[in-house]
Amino acid sequence: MDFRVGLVAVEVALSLLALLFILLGAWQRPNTSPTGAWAVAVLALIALGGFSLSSSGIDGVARSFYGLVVSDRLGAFLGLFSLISGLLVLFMSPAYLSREGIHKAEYYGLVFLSLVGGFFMFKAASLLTLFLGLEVLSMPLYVLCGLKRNFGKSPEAGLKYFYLGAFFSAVMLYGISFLYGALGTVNLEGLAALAISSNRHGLMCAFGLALLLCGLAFKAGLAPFHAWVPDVYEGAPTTITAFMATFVKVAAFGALIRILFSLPPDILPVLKPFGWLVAVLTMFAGNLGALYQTNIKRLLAFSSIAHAGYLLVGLLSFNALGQQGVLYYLLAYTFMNVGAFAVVIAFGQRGEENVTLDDLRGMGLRHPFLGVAMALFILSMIGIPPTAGFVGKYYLFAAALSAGMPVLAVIGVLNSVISLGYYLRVLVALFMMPEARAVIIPPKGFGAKVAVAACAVLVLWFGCFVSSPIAAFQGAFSQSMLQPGTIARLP
Amino acid sequence: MYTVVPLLILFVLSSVTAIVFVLANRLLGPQAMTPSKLEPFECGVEVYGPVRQPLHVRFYLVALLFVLFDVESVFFFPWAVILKDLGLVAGVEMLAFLLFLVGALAYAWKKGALEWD
Repeated sequence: MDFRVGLVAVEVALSLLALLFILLGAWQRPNTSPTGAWAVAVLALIALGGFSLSSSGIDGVARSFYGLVVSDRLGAFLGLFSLISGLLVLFMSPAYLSREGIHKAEYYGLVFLSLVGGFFMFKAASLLTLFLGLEVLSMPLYVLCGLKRNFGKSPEAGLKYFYLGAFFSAVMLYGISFLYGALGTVNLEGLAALAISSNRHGLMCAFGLALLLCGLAFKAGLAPFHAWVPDVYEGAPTTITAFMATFVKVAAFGALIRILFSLPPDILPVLKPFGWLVAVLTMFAGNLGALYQTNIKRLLAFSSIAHAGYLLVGLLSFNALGQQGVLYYLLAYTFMNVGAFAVVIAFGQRGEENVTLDDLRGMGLRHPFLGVAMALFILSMIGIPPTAGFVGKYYLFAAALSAGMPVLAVIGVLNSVISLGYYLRVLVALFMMPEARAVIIPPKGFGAKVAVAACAVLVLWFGCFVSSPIAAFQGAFSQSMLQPGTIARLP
Repeated sequence: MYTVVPLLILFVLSSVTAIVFVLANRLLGPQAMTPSKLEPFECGVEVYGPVRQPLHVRFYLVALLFVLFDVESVFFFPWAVILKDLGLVAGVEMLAFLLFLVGALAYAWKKGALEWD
């Protein structure tokens, strides 16, 4: 139990770079683009991603920061996903930000700070580390959501996210304080003492745990705490929407995994019905809400709610299949979602014009590369082979079946069918409708196209070559936690 | 138990007395309100405008900078008290914390947050 700064090297590097970028932003001359900062940011994320990939092969569990931060394979994998999401977002950022007139070096600093927060969320060994990570993740995002100050919906999105986020942070902290009151510790190992039946503080524990999970459910966009998602995703700059839809989900689900797998096994029968209800509500809220959307950013926002529901199905099955499925789906979801938003950016114009389904009419035939890539991402979101989304969904629902929850699996499949209703509307608009606009402005942004191409290749790759990532993800859990409650026996 | 009873009696008596006096004044006394009577008498500065004026956004920056240094001092004081026991690591940690604070101050300075006009 000592400091061991080497285990948090990625976080330290990200923090220092964030400080550097923010200071660069202050010295940046007006009407210039921070190309140097962008290049440094991209190179840094590639280097740190390589470092995370190499450290993801390490066995065992290590603690740093006097036992407050845990380093294991799960954390390394989730960190890798976060860095991939950040890197893809960085690729599509310069063209989009220049178009909207908000290309500042601070943007990169805030993205990096947010990444640091996420890292501490899913590497937390203590509830306070988790809360601190959540705050560090959220604060830069509040600012980034409201970055387009002259576009009315953007400040509104930032403010809505801030108020609700602050409220749910308070709720979560309240829950943590109850858990501390009942258990006398904020360490995750301490949660193993949470057995409701045998504890005389049972009500306090239940209350604290419920509030804690509510706070995380808000961040993950699970129903009934999902109402902010469409408005914030629509108003935020599209690059940040892609970042929030992928990275924040990774961080929130990473924290949920940490907490759920620290609980003693006998609490799970009590918890499962609630999780079941939340998963069903989330899937229906996302898919039924998306049916009515005409703005593609809102449509993707509702679809991200639905995907959070699918992820919860895998998490609730509490078996090896579900754990691999959650990791696989998080990765696949990162690629298909970032790719879809990159296509939206490539088709869009200054001031968030051109993002309704009507505007997309006929664009697939005029710009075949973007159109085909979007079709691929949409098919992956529906869950059609040979895409990564299919494999992920297969594992999630198979996990639910093998865990004895056939009804949940059936509801999940049913929701996939409902989701066809809006996903196919995008494809119909892209390929089967006459063009709507008289004047066609060619899509710009080389970086966005790079991101689209990378995402498309990776969606196909992870749809075809499944075995090696699945084996790696299996290792991620077997080292640290195969069954609920095992994290309590960590060194 | 007995020690509380006199206190309770005193509390009830004083409350009743105060309420009776205030009510009696309100019910029996003549009420001729003039504008000068409604003004606060010898109670601070004379009123010169409505209260609900929006504050200038500059004050927000001042408040933000205050938080910056406030948090700094909150962390520094306990650190300084037990620095000897914590050793070198704590010193380096606080220097790292200070680095970020100095960075924040430099950012605010460069952005003109310290200039009033």
